[in-house]
Amino acid sequence: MLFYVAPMLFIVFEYYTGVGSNAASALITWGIILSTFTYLIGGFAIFRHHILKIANKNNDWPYSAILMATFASFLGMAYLHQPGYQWVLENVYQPLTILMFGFVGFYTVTALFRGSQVRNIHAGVLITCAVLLMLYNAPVGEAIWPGFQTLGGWLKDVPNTGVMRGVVIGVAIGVLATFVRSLLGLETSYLGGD
Amino acid sequence: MKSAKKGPTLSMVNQDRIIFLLIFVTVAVPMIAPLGLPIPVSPTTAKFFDTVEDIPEGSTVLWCTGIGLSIWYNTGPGEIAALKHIIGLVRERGVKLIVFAQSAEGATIVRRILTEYLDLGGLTYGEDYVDLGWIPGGEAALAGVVADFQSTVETDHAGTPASEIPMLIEISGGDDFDVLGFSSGGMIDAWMRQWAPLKKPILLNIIAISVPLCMPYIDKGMVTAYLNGQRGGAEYEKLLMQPGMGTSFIDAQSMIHLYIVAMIAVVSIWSLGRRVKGQ
Repeated sequence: MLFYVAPMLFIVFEYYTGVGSNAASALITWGIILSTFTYLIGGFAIFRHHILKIANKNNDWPYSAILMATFASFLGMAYLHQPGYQWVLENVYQPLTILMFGFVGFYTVTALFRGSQVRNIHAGVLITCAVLLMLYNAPVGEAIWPGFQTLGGWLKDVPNTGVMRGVVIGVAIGVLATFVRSLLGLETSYLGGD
Repeated sequence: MKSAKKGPTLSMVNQDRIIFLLIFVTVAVPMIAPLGLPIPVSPTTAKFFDTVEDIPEGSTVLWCTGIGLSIWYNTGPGEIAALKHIIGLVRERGVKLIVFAQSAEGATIVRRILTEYLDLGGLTYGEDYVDLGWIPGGEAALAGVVADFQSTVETDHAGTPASEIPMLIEISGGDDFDVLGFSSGGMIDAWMRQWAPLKKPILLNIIAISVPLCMPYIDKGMVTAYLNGQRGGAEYEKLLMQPGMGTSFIDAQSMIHLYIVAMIAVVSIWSLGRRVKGQ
């Protein structure tokens, strides 16, 4: 815990006093280096999990085999064959990742279809706001009626900003509370505790 | 006893199929045959354009690409247009551009924009612009580039030491940048925490769905100007008078929004009708 709390306190101390700026800068650099190592740990964890699954012939082990083969070939190409890596990235990875994102759009529309029934006044307000914002966000809204820009803009700039400001302040207070709990030794989840 | 006669009903699967088919048609038709709907320029995009246009001669711009490939079609047009505009200033006013990415995918996007979309003819790499590739570390990296640039950035994307890149030699931290810019597909808190205290103009290219989340920072002026997803990109292309990806997709975006609004209206009227009938 000392390794966690001491650097944290030191960086806060440096921020307010300016004393030890070189050391604080070195600490930030260490953080960047350490974060790079997390990818190594992640890679190791994936290999361990799936190789054990393949070795033990667990359920769905062929999927693990495909994942391992894909992982190894993509990693290998990144270092040994850049044109191949770029080809896979642009013609396989990008369409797949866009497809996954696109699925969200399709399912959001079906969810809207089932959920956009005006059951009470609150649902009515919510749906009205959603419609106004959609027409605000697409150029066609302004082409239909310029007032959609005014109404949608007001919703985004006034009620939305107020609510989001509350969320941001709430999150900041939560982070501060976690920081204080860490300093007091009450927060141990990063050590594997509850 | 005979049961009351009911009208034909659709299973949920068939309902989904019809909805999906209509989405496909609504998006595909305007992409095949553009409708040419007007693209009015919003004040936010105009402010972004003016902020870039006002970058003084000899300034240094730091741009961080924080988006991934999954949202390329939403944020890509804005990213391309903004960097195209800045590269124009590199040529005209001797502005320096430093680009880096927050992820491996982001680094690919930077490489793609630099090599496929920007005209870099007549510019010298390392003197006019530089691509630092992916700087890992998340928020720590954002803090590092403005707190201690030389320690954080050791090489560019190709592994050339920063000490051998002329335009990087003099840079030590945030005070050496005149304008900061970034793109994001989600919350922007990390950039705000690390970059806003520098009190420099900050430009943002953000996915449309995240604009409401960023409003507190925009309203407070911590973000100087922003591009609102695909629409912002299309508007920027219009301002640059260089139609591109955003312009070609914006009709489809308008039509899908109209489709969803129409669907909500139909479902709402239908459900209200049922309530009135007491069903």
